[in-house]
Order: sequence, then structure tokens, then C-alpha cells
Amino acid sequence: MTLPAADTAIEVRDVVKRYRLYHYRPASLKRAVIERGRTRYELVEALKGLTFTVRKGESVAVIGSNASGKSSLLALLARVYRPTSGTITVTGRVATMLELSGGFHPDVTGLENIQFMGPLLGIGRREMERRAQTITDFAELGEYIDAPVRTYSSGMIMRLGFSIAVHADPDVLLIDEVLAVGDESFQHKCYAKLEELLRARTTIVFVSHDMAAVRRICRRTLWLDQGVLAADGGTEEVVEEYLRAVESRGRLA
Amino acid sequence: MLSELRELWRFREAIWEFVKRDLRLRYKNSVLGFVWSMASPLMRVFVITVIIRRVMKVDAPNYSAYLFCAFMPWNFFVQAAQDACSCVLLHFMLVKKVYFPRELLPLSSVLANALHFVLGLLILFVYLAVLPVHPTKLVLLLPVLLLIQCAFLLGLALILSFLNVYFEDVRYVVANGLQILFFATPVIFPVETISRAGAHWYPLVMLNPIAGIVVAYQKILLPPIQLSDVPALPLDWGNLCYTAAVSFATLLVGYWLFNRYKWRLAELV
Repeated sequence: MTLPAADTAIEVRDVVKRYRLYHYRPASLKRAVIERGRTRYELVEALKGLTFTVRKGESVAVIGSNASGKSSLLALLARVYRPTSGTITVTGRVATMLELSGGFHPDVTGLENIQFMGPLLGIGRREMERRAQTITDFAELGEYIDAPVRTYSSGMIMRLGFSIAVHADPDVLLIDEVLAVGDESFQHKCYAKLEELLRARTTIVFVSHDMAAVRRICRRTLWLDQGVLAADGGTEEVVEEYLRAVESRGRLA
Repeated sequence: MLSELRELWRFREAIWEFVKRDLRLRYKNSVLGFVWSMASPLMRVFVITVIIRRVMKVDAPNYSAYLFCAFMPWNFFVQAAQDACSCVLLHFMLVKKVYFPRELLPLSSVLANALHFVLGLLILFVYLAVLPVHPTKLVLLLPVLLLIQCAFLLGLALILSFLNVYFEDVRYVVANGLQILFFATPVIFPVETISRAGAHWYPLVMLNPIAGIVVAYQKILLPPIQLSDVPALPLDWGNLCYTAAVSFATLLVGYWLFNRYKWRLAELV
């Protein structure tokens, strides 16, 4: 296997991802013994052989209709799952905003959750404590930072998760379609922060349905259509291609 | 497997964060929390002592000390096994969001219980000093025994943690199995009394590595119990070697199995 070039942040080569979608799985030992052979599943191919490279400092959007494999791709880049075949290489520190819950423990305070996430993101404890105030301020949580996360609204949880991710000095930032939950002014702040990160040569992979946001942040777009890379190029052209395809499919339906 | 170990080392600060979180949630940020969690086994030791000494008229002197000595490691074992079952499920949100070597979960679960056990040992030492019961020279083996027990529990935790994700009733099987195993392990009854049932019972009972560990704690911390009708048994070195071998074998097998299936965990959880 050849090593990726020095300025490559993400390299995806012939990646295939298949999941087992269980129609029935004996979920207890008792059932597994009694109901041997009753397991039913189908193999769902979420990604059918993707190859692309992202250079350091690039901002790439991933668009596509639902069930196109966008979230699977992001989860694979985050190393939450392993590809069925093919290789993925991501260099540097990875911060993610994959889902609204942010991975926070509800009975623990926001501040303790921030401190907990530090080592998982590769930031030492003392450094994370130093950044805690900045993170709290950006997330506009104020006094709530000392309250258990279960008292937070979903918007607050998203803000905290996003704040931690962008303040973690990531080399690669992976964002799934979560920003829509925030209000106008926070969304504005987020995009401004993303632009700041881009100037600092952070690589961003951005999954979204919001074409305006995609156009604003990303110069390159990948269109994922049912697990296959349908288009890979400048944002304007790819977005237009995608919208045209959606419209024509809508007309056929 | 070596590269996996290196990954684990890279995440050593995260391991400590997990252990801290486990202990904090367990004691809910209070010193009193720890006292309460010690109160339960202490009360059990007290009640069993009264029953065995007064009701069943077992004639062992300082019986409570022996009971306490065996109870602590047994409790460590039970808690660690049960916590291991649920450790992956408890953190499923993190597993689906962030990359970290998944072994971290059973590892930190066992470490948290080990810390709790060590704190309990301090209380045991205070109790022994007060009685007074003087430990033998063998007490120097204590860290070795602790290492053996942790190795065994870690191997078990690695296996149980992913089994419970596949089969959600594993923790009930474990809980019930442990209740039964309790009576087959020399905790309430001194190991010397096994020979009353026949000479062949001793090797059978000691086949169980937990029994080996629990009895070893008694033998290194206290002199052998003196009963009227059965000989006093010193530390069984042969059994200790066997227990150590089984424990490290369990660790290796558990680590290998866990590594094989750990990538499927995120998809099942």
C-alpha cells in the first residue's frame, strides 16, 4: 500500500460498506439457543466502491438524497465503523459533529463533559480546561455549563457539541447535517467559525441538505447517489447537476 | 495485537477519564457515597458472622476476619463481572460518535472496580489491625495476587462486554450464575472444611480460578484457620500457579476475541 502524499488529509480508495440489516435476530442467549437458524438479515450495500482524495485545507461538501450513504461515509471517515473492503486514510486530529446527542452523558455537567472529551480528541486535560471558557462562551451556555446535560435543550446540546468540535484544533472536521437545529444567529456564528478554520487550513467535510450553506462553505462537492459517487467537482456545477436530477426524478414520480 | 496495544497507550489519558467518570457516577461526588457502598458488604459480613458463629456453631476463632478477607475479592469479582456486561451499552452514544479503541470500555470498567477494591482493602487492614490479627510474611504477595485477579477479570470483561451486546440477557445469566457460584466458592465456609465432604472435592472446588484467588487472599493475609476436626491448610502454591496461568490465558483469549469483534459493536449497539 502506497502512503498518501504529504498534503493529503483524506484518502478513500475503493471503499465498499455493507451492513447487516436484521429482519430478525435472536437478541438473547435463550432465543439464540431455542431459535437456532431463525436469524434473518439482508446485506445492505451503503457504499459501492468510492474513491476520492481530499487535500489539506480543502472544504468538501457531500450531498445526495436520503439513504445515499452520506452519513455512512462520514461515520467511516470518523473511524466509528470499518469499511467492508477498501482503505480509508485520514491524517491528523479528527473532530466530528455526527449527531445531535454529541456523545454526552446526561447525568454529568456540561463542563465535565467538555473535560471528558478532551483526551478522546487528543487534547490534554490541562489544555482542555484552559479552553473550557472559550467553548462555553461560543456555545452561549452561560451558567448552564454547570448543570447536568439532561437539563439541556436539543439546541443547547448541539451548540455544545459544535463548540467543542471547532475549538479542538482539528486537522479534519466532519459535520453531519446537524446545524439546521440552531437559530439564525448561531448558524451565522458557525459559518463564520468554519470560514476561520478554513483560513487556518483545516480540512472540512460537510454533509448538508442546505445548498446555500454548501455554496458558502465548500468549493468542492461530492454527490453521492445510492452509494456511488455520481459527481465530484466544483460546488456550483455539481449542485446544479444534483438539483436537475432531483427535479427530473420528481417529474417521473 | 501489538499495534492495538500501542493505540491503547495513546489513549491512556482517556482511560483515566473513563475511570474517573465511572467512580464519580458511582459515588456521586461525595465521600459519603463511598461509605455507603462499603456499608453493604460490611453488613453482610456482620450478619453472616453472627449466623455462622452463633446459630450454626462453627468454632473458628476470628471468623469475621476470614470472612471479610474472602468477601472483598469476591465482591470485586462480582461487581467487575456485572459492570463489564453493561459497559459497552452504557457508552453507546460515544461509541457511535468518536473513535477510540473499544477495549477502553471493559478496561476502564475493571480498573474502576479495582480502585474501589483497593480502597476496601485499606478498610480491611484497619479491621485486621483492630482485632488484632497479624498478617503473615506472605502479605508481600498481595500485589501479585491483585495483578492475577485483574488479569482474569480483564479477560472476562473483554468477553462479557461484547457478548452482552450480541445477547442482551448475558448479564442475567452472569448474575444468576454468580449467585450459585458463591456457594461453591470457599467464602462463607473455610477451605479446610471441604475435606469433610471427601478428599476429591478440594481439587474440584479449586478448579475455579475465583476460588483460587479468594482463598489465596485469606492465606496470605491471615494464618490458616484452626478447626477441631480438619487440618489447617497453608497457601497452596500449586493452585496459585494454576490460577495465574488460567487468569493470563483468559486475558489473552479475551483480548483476541474482543479485537476480532470490536468493529461490529458500533453497528449492533
